[in-house]
Amino acid sequence: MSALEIRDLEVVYHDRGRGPVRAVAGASISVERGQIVGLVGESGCGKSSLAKAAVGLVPRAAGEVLLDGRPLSPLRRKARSREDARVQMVFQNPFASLNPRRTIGAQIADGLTLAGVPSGSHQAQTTALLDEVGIAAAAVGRYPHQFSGGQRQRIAIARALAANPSVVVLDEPLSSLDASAQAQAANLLVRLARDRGLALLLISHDLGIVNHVADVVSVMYLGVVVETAPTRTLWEAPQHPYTEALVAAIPHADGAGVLPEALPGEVPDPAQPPSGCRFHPRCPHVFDRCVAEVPPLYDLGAERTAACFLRDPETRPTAPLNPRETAT
Amino acid sequence: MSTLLDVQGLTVTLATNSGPMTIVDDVDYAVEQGQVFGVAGESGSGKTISVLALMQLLPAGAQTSGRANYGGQDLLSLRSRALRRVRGAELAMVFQDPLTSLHPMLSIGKQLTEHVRSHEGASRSAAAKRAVELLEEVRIPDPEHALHGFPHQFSGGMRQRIAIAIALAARPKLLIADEPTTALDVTVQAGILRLLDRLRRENGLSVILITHDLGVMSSIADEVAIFYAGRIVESGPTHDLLTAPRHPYTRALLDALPHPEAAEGTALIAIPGSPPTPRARPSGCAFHPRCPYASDQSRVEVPPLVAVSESRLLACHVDPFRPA
Repeated sequence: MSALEIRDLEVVYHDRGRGPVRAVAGASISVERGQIVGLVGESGCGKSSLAKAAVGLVPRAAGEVLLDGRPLSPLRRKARSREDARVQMVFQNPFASLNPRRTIGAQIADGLTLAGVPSGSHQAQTTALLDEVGIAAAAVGRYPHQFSGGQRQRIAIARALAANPSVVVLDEPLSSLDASAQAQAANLLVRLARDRGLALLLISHDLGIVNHVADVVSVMYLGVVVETAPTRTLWEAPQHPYTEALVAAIPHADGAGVLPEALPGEVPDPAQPPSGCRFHPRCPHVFDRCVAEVPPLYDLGAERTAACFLRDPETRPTAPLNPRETAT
Repeated sequence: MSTLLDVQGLTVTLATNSGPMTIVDDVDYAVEQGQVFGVAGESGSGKTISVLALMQLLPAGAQTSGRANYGGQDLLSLRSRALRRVRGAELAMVFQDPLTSLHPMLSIGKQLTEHVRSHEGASRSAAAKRAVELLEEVRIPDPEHALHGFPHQFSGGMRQRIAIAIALAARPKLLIADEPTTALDVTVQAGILRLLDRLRRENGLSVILITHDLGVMSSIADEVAIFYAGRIVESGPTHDLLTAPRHPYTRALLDALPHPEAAEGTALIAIPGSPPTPRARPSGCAFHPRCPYASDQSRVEVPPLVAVSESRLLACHVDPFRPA
């Protein structure tokens, strides 16, 4: 049983005068205990909508979210049940998600209350949590503005941990941080998965950092998951042309002076998704079938899936994906 | 190659509620014609303030000293009329977030032609023609149609291209780009980097590129200066500097990056501590409290930026990575 299982999830927004927008159009992801699953894709691909639906912050239009095999109930005005508090979320900007007028100790204690920790042991547990994320215990009475961006993000993680979650969904937790602070936070995430057995869903557009910390990566394009694979194999041999384009676009600090490859075009409006394969208008390998049919997720073995007709075992061409010329 | 901009002893002090604060401290660098000059460093290291000073765009109460020689004049001491001639026509700037630098209520065409007309005195129709050319130059699809659009109707990448088109309107020789791709997806970032590279090659444009992303730096910059706590700690040709960093800070920055070929399960190496705030800069070498190589001298004496080879400058008393 997975710690977090998202099955055929759909999230639909109703915007006046625009018609329904399917931000997530049938996505499935599962995260095991002790595992970090990275979710990558460009802005507008539905990553954040999926994250919010995973913790119940936006309603699901279809599909289900299972927490340790049990369906997650939607978030209502009433406080959540202790079981539902076992999924926690960390947001991109800790300056916005931490309350500026309360001490960090008080904010972490909220999570402890939620987890049913008696108030007598709050102090000891807060200290332990701060220690776990690498913040000096003496800082417990300070306010968020007295910390650097990297420290604030680790405090936000400590607050999420206070509720004793089994699953933490992190939406771009590292993208506003400088390299060194990012390294600290990334190392912390790996420790949490390994030592606490937490299941982490890490949403990020920074493929370099996801590559480093995630065990498995899912690639999302316009509301659907187009490829899932163990991290190493995903980067070394991407099976979906979109994944290939994402990998080729990463600049490397190796001093080689190589310009990264641009992916022409943009993520289309999710209110009017292209026919067939949603990636076909930007795909360098597009052929007739891609325009007419929706590719299913083909099981490629070795825990890999990809939704591309080039991977159809019936018609599979033998040639690997080719690097392409990019216009500037 | 000839030197386009020569900055010497640039020091910037901002007025704050708790008194003056030195943000940029005695910085020297030179930008050559047709070169992409990279400025790297963590947030708060003075990268942005050091270039805003060149454009005299600092907040009120700021004090600037030093010189910035550009075409025989000192940019730091220009008065209003000369300054207006230089801004836009000689030096132009693009920022991280084009949504804040583009006017939300004016059409793209209006914003572009305004620049063309004010700098070149072109007629309305000539300016409109030039606006289309500029949008073509930055690869905006269907430029005639785009002229009638407003900033919110474009994606982040397209907005940044439009901001670059506006910056290029008066044919500047030097473009200052402050984190121009930080807010963009990597796929879109690659397109902007390729655009800057093409402008450099085809138009001989010089670029000062500020970024905290050493990957971006590696792909496009010819020279890099690494900023720490308001000073340049190391500079040199990009390839040399990234493959053989001499300053412990540069090396630490590179070590903190995820490496594509790293063995699985290896932790990233974070730099201990946090970058100092301008209010509490350490004595001596500002990096010394975080540096495993710091000597007694590092703690008390500011290391000068000196040439350590034909093309490399370094500010470190210890120089632990000196080639044997």
